[in-house]
Amino acid sequence: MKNATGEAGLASLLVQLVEEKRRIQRLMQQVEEALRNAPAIPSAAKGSARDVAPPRPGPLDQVKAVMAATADLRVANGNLSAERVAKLFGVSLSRLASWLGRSRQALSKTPDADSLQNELAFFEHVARMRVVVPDPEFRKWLRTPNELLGNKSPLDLMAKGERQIMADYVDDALTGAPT
Amino acid sequence: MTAEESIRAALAGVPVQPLQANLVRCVALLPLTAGGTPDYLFTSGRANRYNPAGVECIYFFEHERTARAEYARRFGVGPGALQPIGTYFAEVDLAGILNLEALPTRNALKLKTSDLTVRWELARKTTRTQLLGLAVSQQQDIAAIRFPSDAARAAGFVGFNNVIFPDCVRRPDSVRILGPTRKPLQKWP
Repeated sequence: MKNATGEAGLASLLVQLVEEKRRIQRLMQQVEEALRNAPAIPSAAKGSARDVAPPRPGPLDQVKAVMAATADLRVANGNLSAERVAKLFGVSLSRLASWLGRSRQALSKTPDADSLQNELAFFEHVARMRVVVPDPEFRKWLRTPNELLGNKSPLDLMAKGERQIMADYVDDALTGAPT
Repeated sequence: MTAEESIRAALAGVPVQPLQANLVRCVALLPLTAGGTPDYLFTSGRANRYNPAGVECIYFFEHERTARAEYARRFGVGPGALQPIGTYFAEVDLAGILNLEALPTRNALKLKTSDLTVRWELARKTTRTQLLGLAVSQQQDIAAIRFPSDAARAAGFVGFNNVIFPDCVRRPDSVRILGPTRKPLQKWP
């Protein structure tokens, strides 16, 4: 009798577990859709783009060899530098500033400002592609229209604020996810 | 009834078939090995063609040609495609999978051909195939979905992928990463 009760209890818990899993997955799905439908930060909104969330955690965030591929984008205090990002991506500081909704002067004055880190983290994430491609090829890849991205180039999407899509794309490429 | 509910309801009567095959994956070598012991059955829970974010699964390919086509599609034909690649195989034995190559299965699920090739990366809402993966991940009779590879199609040949949901792989089902001895390098369950 005790066993039967125990089994019934387990079965009941299993049902609860499945229901809970469904609930969490539905929630995750809603969050994902909300993130995807969130309006991109327009470049015109200069000065208002202060509270940008960082990229979602990626599967390679803790892999030292992958992070080493973008270590040169950081300054001594560990912060990402807008100057270094601009140089790697082959764009002017003015252009990067406009994408980030900042002034060129602000970026020049403090290129590694704490307030820039969340946005620069998307660029760092995309730069992880350098694990498998040398810098000149990386810059070429950034500018090449890509059928998987609606025939836009990765740089187009970065400029338009679709940065999470690009961060995801690089993670998928490096972890062997299909298209 | 929402799309999710209708797919879940359709799953109840959909034809399933077993799968016994050696499947393959191609992954950039450095990320695979950089963390020390490779996690051959790594699942990120990130959205892909047959899973919304939060649903754990792994994608395998039926043949190396398909795996290479999927890999090359993201990296293009430049040096990225010429970097070291890790190729590994899984011996897969599953009692029940959905085979979307079969028209009756697609019809039962009300999936159009265009649903199978939709550009999920840029979709603003969860796609029908992602909803299908979600529904499969929430039951126990079907452990995987076999579907046509869009990369193979784009490269001009026919190839197939399989997405396997770990929570649905229960004994005697198994996924075993093949190594040099009879002992698998990694396995589910």
